[in-house]
Amino acid sequence: MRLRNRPGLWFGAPALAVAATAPLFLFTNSYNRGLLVLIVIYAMAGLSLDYIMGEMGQFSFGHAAFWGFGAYVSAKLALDLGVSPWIGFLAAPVAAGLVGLLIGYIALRRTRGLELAIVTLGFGVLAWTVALRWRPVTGGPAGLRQVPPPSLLGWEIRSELAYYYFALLLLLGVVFILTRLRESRFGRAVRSIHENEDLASSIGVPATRSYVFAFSFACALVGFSGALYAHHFRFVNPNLLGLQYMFIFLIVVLLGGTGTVWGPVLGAAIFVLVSEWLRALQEYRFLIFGVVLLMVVLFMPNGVFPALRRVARRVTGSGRSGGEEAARGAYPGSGGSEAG
Amino acid sequence: MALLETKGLTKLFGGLSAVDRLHLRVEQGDIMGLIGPNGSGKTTALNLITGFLKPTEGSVTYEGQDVTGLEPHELARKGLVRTFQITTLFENLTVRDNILHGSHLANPTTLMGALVRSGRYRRQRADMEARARELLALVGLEQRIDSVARDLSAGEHRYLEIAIALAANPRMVLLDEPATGLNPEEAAYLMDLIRTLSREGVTILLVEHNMRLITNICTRITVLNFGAKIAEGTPGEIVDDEAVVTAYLGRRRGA
Repeated sequence: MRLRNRPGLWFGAPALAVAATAPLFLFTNSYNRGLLVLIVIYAMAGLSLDYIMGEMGQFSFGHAAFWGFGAYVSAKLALDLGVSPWIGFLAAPVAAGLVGLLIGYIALRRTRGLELAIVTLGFGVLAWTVALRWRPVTGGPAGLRQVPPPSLLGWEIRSELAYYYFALLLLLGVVFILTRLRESRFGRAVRSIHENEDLASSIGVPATRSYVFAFSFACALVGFSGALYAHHFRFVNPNLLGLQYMFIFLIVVLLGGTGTVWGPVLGAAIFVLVSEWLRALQEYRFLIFGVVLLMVVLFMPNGVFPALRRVARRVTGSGRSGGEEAARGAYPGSGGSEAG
Repeated sequence: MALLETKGLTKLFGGLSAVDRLHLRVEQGDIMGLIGPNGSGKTTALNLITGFLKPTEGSVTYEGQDVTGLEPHELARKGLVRTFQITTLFENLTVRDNILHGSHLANPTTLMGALVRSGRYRRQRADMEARARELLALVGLEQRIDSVARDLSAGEHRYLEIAIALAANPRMVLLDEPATGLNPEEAAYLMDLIRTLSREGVTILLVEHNMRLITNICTRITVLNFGAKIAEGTPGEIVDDEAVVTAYLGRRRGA
């Protein structure tokens, strides 16, 4: 039975092995280990954006605003109220989720698709402006500094190595929850609206309500990722809410592949490493990423991960029919690695 | 008491009445046909009843409750489910997943159950899977369970659509021109299917312009023209009705 299968294991297991041992080779200094932390944080943000893009089939241009918002919430709590980062890690997703609920309620009652993208873009720009201008609270353009790291049993998770494993564990938890959520009644409802909203409504799925909750969930998740960022890099500034990060998350999702759990993880790794490799080019990096993004959308519209999966299937000699594979390409919850 | 009743149901589109003071009664167990020439307001009436359009005036009563203006998903929850004129499925999913995704109302699983994959959750999932197989067997699609919906033939699309509607455990199903695009054998199979549903206790409202199909299986028929009801009765009464014949064929029926 399908439930018993472990979709994505062929990729997940080796990827996890690489991720767990990466700090032992190549990523041996703290700078490189910082890159690993960044990969994990971007992967989580990418997964949340992909919940909107891949699962809901919608688009939010304001997603980075929720990321930055989560970062600010946790940083602000720690700096002004001396609240433990652990509480911040809970408060950030809750706050981002609540704002997401509000924005989702306003936007999704009326809009889908392109209109939703524009409404969320408007919200994102608004949020970025507030972060920039509301100096007494947000610290203005300079943002907030000296955000404390979390500590465990009196020991600060300050080193890149410790923070990396900490964040990696959380990322695995997120991947696990997303995989299970897909199969749940709620996950299926969201998927059915994506596939065919009229039909979903006619068989009893409350479409708008389900979408509002799904949107809020994605916002909570990205807010959580933002808080992880704030407590590792120890600062927040208005850029975190801006279009640059929006663009990064978009690259992460499109590069890796929408509608797949491992796609954004792979996308984040590729983005951070290539971006690092092109460091000398400074802002011109985005020129290259712009071209890469174009190429991916034009020639690999499903992203790198589904392309890899096809190769893996060929290698393991899985005999799936073309139609079925195409159908599952966008829906990994039910397809995957029973090939081996 | 009628299972479904509309009173003075009216829909104006910019001054034109697509549906004009429609009184419709469907009794429990009926296979009610709603017929009329193209543009006579059949689909609009169905959209008004199922909440996809809000009426300008008039009311819809279902199980004795006023359900005017309720959302489609709220009506589905009360057991009133529809299909569409242009077949709509979850085209990218397999036949099995179409039923499982269509079983939203009959899905007892909890979020926590799905997250921890409890024994209870797995049993519930196995039950749903079994129920999906039953439904597919009922409509004759059990051989196609792993096919992707968009690879099905026109007839199979219809059968699957009906199976999806049944997955919601409806008390009443509204079918919007289900025979459109079907060849004669498929249409005949579809009629058998509709009779089967009726025997299982599902009340049916069938919108159709294919006169022969409808006179064959309906217990009662309502005829619309220009949004208004021009006749109502048993199939025998309807085919002999002067007004119907004139409206429908535009001329007297040949001897």
